[in-house]
Amino acid sequence: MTAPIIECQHLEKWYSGVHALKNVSLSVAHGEAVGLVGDNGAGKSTLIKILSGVHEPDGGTIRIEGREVRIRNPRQAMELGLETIYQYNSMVPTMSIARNVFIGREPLKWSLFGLGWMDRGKMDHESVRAIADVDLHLRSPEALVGELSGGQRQGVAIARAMHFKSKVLILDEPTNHLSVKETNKVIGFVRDLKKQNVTGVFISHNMQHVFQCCDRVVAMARGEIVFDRPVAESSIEEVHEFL
Amino acid sequence: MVTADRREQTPFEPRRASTSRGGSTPVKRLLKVYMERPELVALVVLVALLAYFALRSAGLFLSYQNLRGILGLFPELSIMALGFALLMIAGEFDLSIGSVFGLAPIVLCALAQHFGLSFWPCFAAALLMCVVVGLLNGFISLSFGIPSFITTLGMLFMLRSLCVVIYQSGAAPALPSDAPAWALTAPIGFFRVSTIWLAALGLVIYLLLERTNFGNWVRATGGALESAKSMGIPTNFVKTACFVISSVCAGLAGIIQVVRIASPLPSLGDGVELQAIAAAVIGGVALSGGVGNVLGAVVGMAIIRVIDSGMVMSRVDANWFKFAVGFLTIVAVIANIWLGRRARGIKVDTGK
Amino acid sequence: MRRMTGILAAGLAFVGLTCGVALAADAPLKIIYVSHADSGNPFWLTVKKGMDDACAQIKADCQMLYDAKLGDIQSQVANMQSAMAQSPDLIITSIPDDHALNAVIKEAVDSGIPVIASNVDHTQGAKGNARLAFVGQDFELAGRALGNAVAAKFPASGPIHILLGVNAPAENWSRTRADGVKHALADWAKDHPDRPIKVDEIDAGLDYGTAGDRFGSFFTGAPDLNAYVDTGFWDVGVASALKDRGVAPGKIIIGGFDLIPDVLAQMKAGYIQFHVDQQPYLQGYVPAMQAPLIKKYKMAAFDVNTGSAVVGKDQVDAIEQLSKNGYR
Repeated sequence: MTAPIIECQHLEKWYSGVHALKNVSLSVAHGEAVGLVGDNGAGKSTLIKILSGVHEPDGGTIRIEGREVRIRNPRQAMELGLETIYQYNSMVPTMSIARNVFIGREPLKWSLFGLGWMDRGKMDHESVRAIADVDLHLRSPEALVGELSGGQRQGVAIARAMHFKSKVLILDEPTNHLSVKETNKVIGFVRDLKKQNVTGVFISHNMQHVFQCCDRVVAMARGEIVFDRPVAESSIEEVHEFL
Repeated sequence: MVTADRREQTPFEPRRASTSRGGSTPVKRLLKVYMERPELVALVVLVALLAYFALRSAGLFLSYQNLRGILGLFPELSIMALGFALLMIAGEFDLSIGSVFGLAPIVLCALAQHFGLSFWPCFAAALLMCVVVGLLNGFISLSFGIPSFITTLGMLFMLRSLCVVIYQSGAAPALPSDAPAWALTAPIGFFRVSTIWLAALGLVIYLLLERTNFGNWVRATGGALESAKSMGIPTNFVKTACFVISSVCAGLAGIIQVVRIASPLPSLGDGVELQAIAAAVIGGVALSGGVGNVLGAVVGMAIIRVIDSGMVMSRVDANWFKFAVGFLTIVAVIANIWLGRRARGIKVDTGK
Repeated sequence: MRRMTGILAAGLAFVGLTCGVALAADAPLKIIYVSHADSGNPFWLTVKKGMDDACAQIKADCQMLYDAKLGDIQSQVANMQSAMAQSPDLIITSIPDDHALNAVIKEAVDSGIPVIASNVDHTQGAKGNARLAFVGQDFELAGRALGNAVAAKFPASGPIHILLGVNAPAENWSRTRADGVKHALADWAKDHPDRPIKVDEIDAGLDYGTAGDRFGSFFTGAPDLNAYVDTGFWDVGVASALKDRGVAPGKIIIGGFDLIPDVLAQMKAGYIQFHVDQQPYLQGYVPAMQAPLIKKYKMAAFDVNTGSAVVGKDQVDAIEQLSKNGYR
């Protein structure tokens, strides 16, 4: 049995006097799709922010593929293969799709000390491919992200994560502002992550969605994990009882 | 996986010339593509103004002498506007550029006079001072979370005071006799060397913004700071670098002006920051950041200088002068916005 | 902690003792100058030098308060009030506006603080304001003097076209100087009824670059221009613009106000013909010197016209060194 891809043990986090995470331990296996549910203030977003590098925990350890790590910033998280798709903050609306896909990781024709000339041809070409790979259809890689619908933006974010071969995709309430059709698309996508050997952590308010596409459901309340079982062995009502 | 809706076209098809939407000629398409860019709309407004003043002055406005005269002050202020526009695109302000415009030449002349150094080492030292000012602006704003508007406003006053202090410490600093006008501002026929500096700097900063990863980071930092941070962009580094570029451009511009005209007075550059802001905004740089082009700021500055010069030529009364300039500036901005809106409204098939 | 308190107490006692001693002895006079200029203006550096030199001689404590921006009246009123709060022996102030400062100056005088106006006076002088005296240049007279000097250099025949560069149309000093020049020109026109004379005005701005740029635009449309008069020293920018166009020095008669090294340089080069010196040094020196006379010997304050002296090329060499050292 291989080591879990993510293993958090005894995580603690305090935010201006509030105990946001209390002794949180969570294990995610390769290729698993984990649904993370809970009300606002339960600690879901805190846990996600820690995994994506925005904050550091006050206590506890994190292991990625068995190795203990400190995730100090988003760049390190991405280097470890953890890509986060936020509700709002993944895209720069005033920039084109191609620029957004490669933001922070632009392919360079030549460079000095990390700054250099972007390979725009490659950016256009590969963003076209990345978006087609997730079965999304858009006008042009030069279109501004601001002109896309919410669902299309999330699609681009997902295409980006897949392109950079992330090991774990963390989706933070991705369907909140999407149409029914777009939501179904995202749910289907999370279900198919396994086929691409990608692990998924799917945060949602909507229990139905979680039960539709995840293997395991983890519920949090008041900073603690209160429920952690495979979807097959539980039901929506049961989870509600614990929340 | 849900399959694509058949009505949607395959991705990234080139824009077709004809559709069921009522057809679009290549001209219309060209218009739409180019008019959607605010800096090009500003160019249209500039041409309109040139035509207007040419008519009013029976062609004299476009005479060799007059245009050559305008090309004296214009490159200096435009160089300053370049750096400022870059910083605005990164989402920050620098109100201290006017004071830097004055302080850099004063520092240069004072060093040359008091220490007997030749021009170029003093030039380098003055620009180094600008770098320090930029670093301070960035460091103070970002470390303490103060809006750069405020930080640079404080810096504006402090640097202006330094101008007076240095000016008064001993005999008034005069332009060093070995100041190389040939390298900075000497006329070459119609143009001046300063125009070459403007073109070179404009090109460099344009390419920096459009073609380098740094430029990508600048737009992201200005357009959506949180997104940029979450994607791992070193936003503080980006902003600080832009503060530095802004200060250096302002200092260079001031030095060029002093080499062109006379000794630096401590009041040099007082108030020019407003012209830089106006130029950038007229040229399509958004006050909120992330949008715009440094070349637009140059076009914007051209509009301001043309209005100023045209008003003088039109013999507008001295008392009404500022009114006329302000009024025409507002008209220019409105025209800019209106044309842009019209462009966006043009129906052209885009393969959507 | 106890040691700190002990040291602090000792320090305070010392300060109190010396203050008491100082108060008992003959306290130095306190003089405050409230200016309408901002601290970047080189003209005012000479005024301040005059005041500082006087204060060194009479052993007074002197302070100059500036506006944040040239001509900011509200800032000046606020500075006046904070000056009054310090109970000085003399307040010197410029009066660039006919209304805003009247109340606060009257308040100062009524409360026993003498106020002498300097550099710019109320347009109605003692009738319009409670200030005790005025030391400075009469702008009208200075404008006239310059206008006369420039007119004397007009070519012997043909129509005359002259441009006035009003640098700050909203401000008293600029307006009145321009008006003085215009009055002199009107007199010249009366004396020469056969010569048509056209007088134009532009807003020339407050810096070399702007003045040169605007003059250039005007000149392109008016190649028949004979003379240019600035209401300050920004004709340096105009001289530079003319040089840039290859116009020979002296072809256009140029005049302005106040002497700074750049002006002297252009006078030597021949581009600028005349400047009126208001002797700013005296505008700081003379009022400050009146402080002990008023305070100790109860004398009345007195007016001094610091001059409408027109300086031409011949005097430049003599003045140059003095100008560099801040006296003129």
